[in-house]
Amino acid sequence: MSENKKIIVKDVNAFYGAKQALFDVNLHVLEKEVTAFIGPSGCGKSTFLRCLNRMNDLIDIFSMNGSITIDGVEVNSPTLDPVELRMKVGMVFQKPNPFPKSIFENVAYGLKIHGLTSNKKELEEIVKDCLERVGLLDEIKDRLHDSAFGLSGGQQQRLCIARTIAINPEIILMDEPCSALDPIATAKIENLIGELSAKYTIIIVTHSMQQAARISKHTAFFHLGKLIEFDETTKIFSNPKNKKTEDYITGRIG
Amino acid sequence: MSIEESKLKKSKRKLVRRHLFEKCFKLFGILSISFALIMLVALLFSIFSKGYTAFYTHYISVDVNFSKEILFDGDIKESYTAQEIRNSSIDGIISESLKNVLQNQLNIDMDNIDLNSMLSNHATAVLRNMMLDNPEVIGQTVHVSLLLSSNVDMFLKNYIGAGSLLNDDEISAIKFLQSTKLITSRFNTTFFMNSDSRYPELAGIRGAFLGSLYTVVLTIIFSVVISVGAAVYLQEFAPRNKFVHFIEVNINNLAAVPSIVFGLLGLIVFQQFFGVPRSTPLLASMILTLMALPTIIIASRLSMSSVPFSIKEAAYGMGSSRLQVITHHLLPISSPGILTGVILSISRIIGETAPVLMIGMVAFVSTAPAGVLSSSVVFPVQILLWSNSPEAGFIEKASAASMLLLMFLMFINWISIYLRNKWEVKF
Repeated sequence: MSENKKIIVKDVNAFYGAKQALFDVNLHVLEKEVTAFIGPSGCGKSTFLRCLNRMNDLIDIFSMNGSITIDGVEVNSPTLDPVELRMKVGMVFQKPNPFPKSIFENVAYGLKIHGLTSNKKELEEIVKDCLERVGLLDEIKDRLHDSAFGLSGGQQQRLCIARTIAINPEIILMDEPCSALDPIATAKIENLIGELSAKYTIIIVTHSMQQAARISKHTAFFHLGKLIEFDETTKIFSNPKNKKTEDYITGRIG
Repeated sequence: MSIEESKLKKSKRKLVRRHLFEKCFKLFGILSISFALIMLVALLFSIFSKGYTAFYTHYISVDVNFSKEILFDGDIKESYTAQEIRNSSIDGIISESLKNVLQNQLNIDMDNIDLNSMLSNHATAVLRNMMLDNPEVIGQTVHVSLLLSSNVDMFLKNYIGAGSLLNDDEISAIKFLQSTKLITSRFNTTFFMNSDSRYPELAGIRGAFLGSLYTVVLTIIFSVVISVGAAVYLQEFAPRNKFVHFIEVNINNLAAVPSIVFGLLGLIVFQQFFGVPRSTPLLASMILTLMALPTIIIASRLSMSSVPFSIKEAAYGMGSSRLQVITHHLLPISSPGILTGVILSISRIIGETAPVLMIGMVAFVSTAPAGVLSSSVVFPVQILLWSNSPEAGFIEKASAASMLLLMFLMFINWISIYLRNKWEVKF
């Protein structure tokens, strides 16, 4: 496992209007590894995640300072096109949100808008390959052209992951991807995250400490907009340095 | 009696009253709906009962002798020039053939009958064209069907009685012709193929239909392009400031402007200032576009704002540009809502009369418009023109035109409901 720092975050402060949501966040994310962000609701972990692919641009009143670099490139640099950034940094959302199109079209969409395939056959191959990798192809191969809304929640979420990996990003951000799913679907997604981490750098926000413990190498604990502790997952859960972290993982705050 | 018991009793009494209120409210609702239904049925019945007769008309089958003697006033020769045929006395042979049919009816005073006014002017034209197209017919006797005049038609349809427009002898003659089965009723193709005419039996709806069609199609094109553009900008691009808010408020105000004011605006700005030709579908559609704008903009914005944010998020997350999010997701998902706005406003503008009167679409136009730049009338104006005419024959035409207008509207509504159901996305 390389110790390559894929993302380096320095002194990030974020604001919604006058309200400060993040205070001096400093951390780094290693390449091809799963990093988990944990913390109680409203602690700023999702806000922070969205800073990494500039999804917060969609919110008018949002502003931030500090520096986030991915492979040495400043994310907030005015010369960086957010479209290019989001090609490199894919995202999976809390609630499965497939497009109101067919299953095939959902996966093909990213490939089409970025012009990543040269012909129909190639497109079809990549779409099938992505569905195969998320374990969906066998389940739905007869209804590839049916609406994605006909799938179950867990299937929809895996479809969203397939859609994301179709454009071959380097980093995948996951914002509580299992919070709307049942335990079996959750287990499938967790296995999938384990497999994907061989190829992609994955950052996952989660409410479930067990999930963070199961799948991540490193864990960051956020509380009230501050990064309280960032370390290897095993250390965070067995031997937290900070009192607040300990309180949280033992269930006293949250 | 304890306090508890009295409370219980009171609450029970109240419950009875609550149920009573509910029943009254239900009854009120049923009455309201019945009232609306009765009015609708009355409206449809009055239109249909007056209008359906316009869909058939009466013809008479007679033997017409193209007698050279009568046609050319004794000038008998082998062949005649077109000019001579045009000047020939066609009225003479028509009255001669009617006289032949009626000659044995002793109770009818032939001198008292205006035989030529029994037939439409159309009959003269038909006979003239027969001679021009086929000169061999001159001098022979041919069996033809000729269109009866509007007065006779009206009498046969029981719209007018004796005395007013037809005298007793004329009425006896009509009754005799009817009894001999020489008068036949047929589907009125003239009503669909002709445009407006001074003669009720020759007046048709084609000009008004085409005028309305051109106007509506142009209006849909103009208003959809402008409204969707405006709605997308206001919804997705516009900064949230006072000026934009001011624009939004005024779009809503625009919806409340009386249509006659739009007509005035169109007359002054589009026609007099920009010189768009008057009485044309182009000018009408420009004015009606202004009227359609606010409804479509409001409906479009509403429907765009109801597109789930998660879909937009997903699209941005995939690296879509702003325009791609709009064209690939926002517009397709909100299209049923946009369509609803379009239909609402189009249904309104099809029947709009006041603004088109302002720009001179009330003129008598006897030819169907050749394009969007030729003078024409529209459906509602045609109805107005006909119902204002003194001739009895125009009344059924006005009702029939109303029927067609309603059908036109229903057809458009049906298409829109079909498309809306087809495009609708359920989340």
